[in-house]
Amino acid sequence: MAKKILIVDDEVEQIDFASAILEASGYALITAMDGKEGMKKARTEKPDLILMDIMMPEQGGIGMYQNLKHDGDTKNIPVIIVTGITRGGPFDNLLLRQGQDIPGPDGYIEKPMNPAAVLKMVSDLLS
Amino acid sequence: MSKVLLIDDEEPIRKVLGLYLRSNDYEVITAADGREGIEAFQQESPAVVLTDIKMPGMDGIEVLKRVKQINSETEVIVITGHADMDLAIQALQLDASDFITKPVDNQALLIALKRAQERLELRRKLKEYTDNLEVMVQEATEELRKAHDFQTNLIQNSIDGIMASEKSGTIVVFNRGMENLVGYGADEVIGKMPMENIYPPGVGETINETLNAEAYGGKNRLVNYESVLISRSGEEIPARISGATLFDAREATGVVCFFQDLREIKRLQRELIQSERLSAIGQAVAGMAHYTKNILNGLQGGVYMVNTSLKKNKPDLLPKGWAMVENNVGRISDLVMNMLIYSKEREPDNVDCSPNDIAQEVYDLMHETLEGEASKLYDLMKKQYKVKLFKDLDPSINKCYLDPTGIHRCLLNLVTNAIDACTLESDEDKDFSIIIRTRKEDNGIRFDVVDNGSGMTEEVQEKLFERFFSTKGPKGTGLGLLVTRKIIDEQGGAISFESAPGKGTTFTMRFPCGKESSGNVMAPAGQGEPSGT
Repeated sequence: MAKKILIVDDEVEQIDFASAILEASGYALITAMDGKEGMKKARTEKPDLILMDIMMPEQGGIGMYQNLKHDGDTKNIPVIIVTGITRGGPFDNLLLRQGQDIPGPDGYIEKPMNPAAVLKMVSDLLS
Repeated sequence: MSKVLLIDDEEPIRKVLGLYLRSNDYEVITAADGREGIEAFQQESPAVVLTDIKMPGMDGIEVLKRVKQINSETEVIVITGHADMDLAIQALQLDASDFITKPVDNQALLIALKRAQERLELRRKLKEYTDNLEVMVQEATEELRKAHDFQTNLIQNSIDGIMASEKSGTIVVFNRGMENLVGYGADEVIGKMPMENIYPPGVGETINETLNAEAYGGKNRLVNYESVLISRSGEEIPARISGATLFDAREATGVVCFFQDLREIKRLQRELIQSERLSAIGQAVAGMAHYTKNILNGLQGGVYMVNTSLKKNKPDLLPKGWAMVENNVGRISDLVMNMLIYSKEREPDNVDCSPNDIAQEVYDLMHETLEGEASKLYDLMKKQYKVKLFKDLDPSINKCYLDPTGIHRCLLNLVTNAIDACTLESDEDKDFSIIIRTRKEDNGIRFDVVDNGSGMTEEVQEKLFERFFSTKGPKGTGLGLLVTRKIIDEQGGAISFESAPGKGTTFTMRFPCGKESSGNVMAPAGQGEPSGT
């Protein structure tokens, strides 16, 4: 059975781009446009992996990530964060400061996305 | 102690009177006849002379005459017999101070002497006062001269230009600062040149009217009024003018004006703005790193999807991918255009144009974006399907002398912001609308962009004019309103807004209309630096 991946992003373009990459490799996809919807689908659909943006309106990516890691049902789902923010900047501190008791994301992808790198990271985490 | 010269030919009288006077603290010199008396007078210079009238040889009248010749201020008291009233009168006519009769009454003598003494004192004081007065007048004159020299120096050497004119308009003061400022020499101006010559046509009258009005510092005063002068060579010189009507008692006698050359200040201001703008661009580029990464991501996504579609024969990916490429090419060209406009010192490219045509173009463009084929092909911003764009153009607006490209960019930025304001609103069932409106006004024209989107909180409204503030996260550059404001400023226009959270926002741009328009026609736009949302 195909592995199920949840893509969470408030930009349709990003969802389409990620979908095009992953679909071609035979993954089953679910999508959500914000953190609230993303969290709901993570619980109900039990995806094998989550690819998510960290900067989203309303319930932002950081909030959703913390909820995922605090929830027994979802905390073991591997998460890849996709963002335009460069690694090593204030974003790291933000994530660490707000959730000292939770582990960091399993993968981190900077925009613009390199399709090959995304596919490799996803298949490594799922194997 | 006063010195008294007593002249009498009768020795007993000299003795008695001498004794009596000495006992009353007078220093007494005595003489037995007129000749002796005059000699003693010359030697001793007494202030008071007491002389008998009837004496052998030189009589009292002759003594009086000579004493007065020698020192007119001497007090001479004559002693006469009862029968000699006519001599007494003659003596008084010859400027004797007083007379006493024989036999001499001691009391009367003392009183006469006291009076003489008082007169002497009074004269001394009067002289002192007169002498002082002369010194005082001299001092005052000197001070006045110094003050005058100082003021002349002050006026002459003041860096500011100073010009004063009489009520008739004749120029009476034209200092060196003024010569340097406008290039005319004082000798060809004072009393000769009409004041209007240093102003461009009409400006002199405006300044006079302003001086007589309340607006700048009150009636009959002009404080920090910015205007232009025109030099001998025809150069327009920006200047800050302060002035006052001069009054003598209550009557206006003339006008004095102070002119501060603003050329250097304006040049420095321009340089400062330019360098601030360049450093702002640097900040913007750093701050927009993820905005540009998003665009790049979109482009790569589009290219990837188009490639995948072609290689793997998946036709459904082609239009999506292509729309993504188009969308991001649009975003990046917008960004580059805004950055170019913002970073460059540019003169507005004014031509005769129709404001309604500009509004129509923007309407057509954005209408296509919202409802045209492209937006249906690719579900780009899915919430935007609910946003309707309307136009409300005032047909009475004619041609205006404005920069159509600049205004097009401003309107586009405002409408884009309005669309974003609608998609930011969480209430998805609301019917969103945006109206592009034009109106004719007294001094020009007005563009409104009205939306019923999310509106802005007070916090956002305050920050709206902070540099590179954006509520759009990585999707905003913080440049849109910055560029809009800059273009409006260049046109001498003004931007304002009204907003309420949950109800929407109206942005208003006002522009002066016509060739005479300059930056002074309308109030400068808002305060601080604008930025985009």
